[in-house]
Amino acid sequence: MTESGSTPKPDNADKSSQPDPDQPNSEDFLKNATGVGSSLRQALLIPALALLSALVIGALIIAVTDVDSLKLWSSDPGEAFSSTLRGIGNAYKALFVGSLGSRRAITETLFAATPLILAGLAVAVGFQAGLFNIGANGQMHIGGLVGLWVGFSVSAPTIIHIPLAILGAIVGGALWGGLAGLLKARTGAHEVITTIMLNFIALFMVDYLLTGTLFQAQGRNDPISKRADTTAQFPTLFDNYRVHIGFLVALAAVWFVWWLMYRSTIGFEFRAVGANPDGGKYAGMNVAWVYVAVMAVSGSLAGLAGANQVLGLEPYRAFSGFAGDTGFDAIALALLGRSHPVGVLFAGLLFGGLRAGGLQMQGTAGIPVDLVLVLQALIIVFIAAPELVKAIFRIKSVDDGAKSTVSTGWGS
Amino acid sequence: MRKRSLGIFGVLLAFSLFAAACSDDGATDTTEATDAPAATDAPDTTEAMEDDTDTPDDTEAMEDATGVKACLATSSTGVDDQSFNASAWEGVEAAMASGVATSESIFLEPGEVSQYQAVIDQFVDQGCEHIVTVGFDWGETTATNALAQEGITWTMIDNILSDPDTFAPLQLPNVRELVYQTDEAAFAAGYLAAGMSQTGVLCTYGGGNFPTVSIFMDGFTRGAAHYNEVKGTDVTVLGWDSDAGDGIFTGSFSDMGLARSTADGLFQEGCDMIIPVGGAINLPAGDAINDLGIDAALIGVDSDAFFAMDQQYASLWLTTVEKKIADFVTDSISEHAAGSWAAGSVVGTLANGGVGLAPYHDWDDRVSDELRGEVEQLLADITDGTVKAAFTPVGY
Repeated sequence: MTESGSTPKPDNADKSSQPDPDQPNSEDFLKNATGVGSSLRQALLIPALALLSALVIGALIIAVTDVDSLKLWSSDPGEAFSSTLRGIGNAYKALFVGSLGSRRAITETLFAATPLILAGLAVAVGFQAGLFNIGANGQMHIGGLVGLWVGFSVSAPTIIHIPLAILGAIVGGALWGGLAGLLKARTGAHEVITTIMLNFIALFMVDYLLTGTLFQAQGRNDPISKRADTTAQFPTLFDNYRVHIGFLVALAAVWFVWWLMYRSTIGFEFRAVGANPDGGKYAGMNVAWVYVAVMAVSGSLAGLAGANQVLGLEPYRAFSGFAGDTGFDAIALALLGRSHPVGVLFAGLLFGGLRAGGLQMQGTAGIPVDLVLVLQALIIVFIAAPELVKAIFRIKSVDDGAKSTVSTGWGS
Repeated sequence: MRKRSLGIFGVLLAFSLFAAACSDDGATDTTEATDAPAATDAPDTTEAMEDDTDTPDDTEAMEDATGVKACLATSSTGVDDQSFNASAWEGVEAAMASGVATSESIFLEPGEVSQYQAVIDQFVDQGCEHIVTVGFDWGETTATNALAQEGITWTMIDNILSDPDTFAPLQLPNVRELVYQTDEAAFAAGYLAAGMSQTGVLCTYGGGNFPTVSIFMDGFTRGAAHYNEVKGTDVTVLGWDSDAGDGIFTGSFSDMGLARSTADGLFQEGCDMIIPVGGAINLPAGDAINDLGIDAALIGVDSDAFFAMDQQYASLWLTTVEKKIADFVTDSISEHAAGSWAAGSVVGTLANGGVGLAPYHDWDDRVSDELRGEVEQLLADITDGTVKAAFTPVGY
């Protein structure tokens, strides 16, 4: 199905630079990018090559921004060359050491990966059902806030309090995500538009609530919440390291999403509607209900990620924009993981590693952490344009055999 | 935040990174130039090191012997915010140049609050001896880590550490807090702006209702009110209500679009003297002035905006309410190196040169001699306490 655009579109063909004479239409382009229904080989090959390409271009960026080495080129090209190589080597070495080189580095990678995996799963579930949930950020904010509210307003022992707070986050995120699904089901409003807009509503609603008496920390004027009770704070897995039980929750969520999408009837409906809404309708599925359900499931996963940002780390408070950029990184991550839960897990670990290693890179090699963002963005460029990667590495279309099967997912 | 989701911006980002690295040399040159006039009324140490900055080669040799490894943690806006982070890093750079800090001194920019702890862990791993944390946000992380890392000396900028439960000041033996009585200078700026305004409407907006932001807005508003009292005029200030302790905030220190629409709204209400508080969110106000073609002025905050901000805005700055973070950071590191460092809060005031009003630069011709004299007198009166400008006491 990835190459199924058999009707050439003349108006597209002029603008597009893709060499393939069979122009995929925009729907197919999106499916190409999200990797839904691609074969295992394709699912592994494209991200790996995208990562490689991104690292190479990242190296070039390090080289051209290394002002000291650049100055040497006119006087001593040999030294300039080796100094440039040293710079690149140091940067990537620091990135590696900072993400995997020590016990702290590994735990920091897991710590950073936790919300990314959860939010990535949220976006991936949407992709599988053909929905683009750009609203993970807003769902994180709402879910996190509800989780926090349970975290400081309820008194219960840890064993009850944490599941309760997690449940609150799930419900909050599900409602916020489900709202976008409902708008699509009832009014046809496109989920890309509504989720983006709901992000802003969530962001500023959180700002507003954080300055109200219900949430605001005592003695403060700025938007910052009370602290979650110690019984609601996610316990760390090891002393002195920040990785917490949220990581186990994320692993459980990976399993749950896999089970939901590939082993349950509902998941089959999700994927069937994603592959072809008309076909789903013809088969007797309630497409409108599926949209709401998909967005609610997606939102609940994002809500979990939001709870991580509040209950999983110091200072155990919500503040303005506490979800950070995780909800947007999640889109990149779901693309990289080819919308498969296991793929998202590894993509989340990779991005978590980049995040953890980025600081080490800036600290020891003096390369701005922004390079990590550049790497992430480059990976997405290559993922979004698989033809580009294929052209660079001279790969023949390996996936022709898979194009007619609708529900073939990764590993199923 | 949206830029990350769109791949094409990666390429743009790459180019901007390149551009940033290339312009680095130029940027540091200009900031050193800004220091020169500032040094005249600043604490003594700066003058000594001014000579050294031009000859970095000489200092390389001497720093190994005595230098302290200083590490700076920026707020989430990053080190090139043309504001307090930049100023704090200038302070570390000055310490490096004079040899009191080693050339190994570094800064780290956590993109978001969840990375604050990771930054400190990174510093501890790298053997930092003196950690400077910049911004009100850092309070809790600084307090917890200063308690855990007694062997490290900490300089906290813009926050008086307090116990999260009792709000009592948390006086730690290894933390120095640098805070600024910014309203003293903002008061004089408010008076000046009231005197300069043709429409009789002044305005302000902030990035968020943090005490370190609102103190500028509050001082400015009270300064304008003082002008009304003295002159019997009716100048109004939009964007801050001193009694309610609240005003106009964009809720973001990086959302330029929101800052622009906020500024547009204020200009439409007749404002012609604006003091936006919060790093680079004042530039959209400058764009608004240029686009609307109105005769209005910007008042900068933190570092003299005439030098710190892009040249295209240079003619718009009436003055800047300066907060001399760099000098105080350098002092803290120097004293650490010399063994004379002491914990506690250090409050920057008009009297000790920690805060002040920058020159009028391009607006110099338009400030009447009478008003100029009044502002100078006002600054003197605030310094000796005749006029009470500090309404929000900082420090303990």
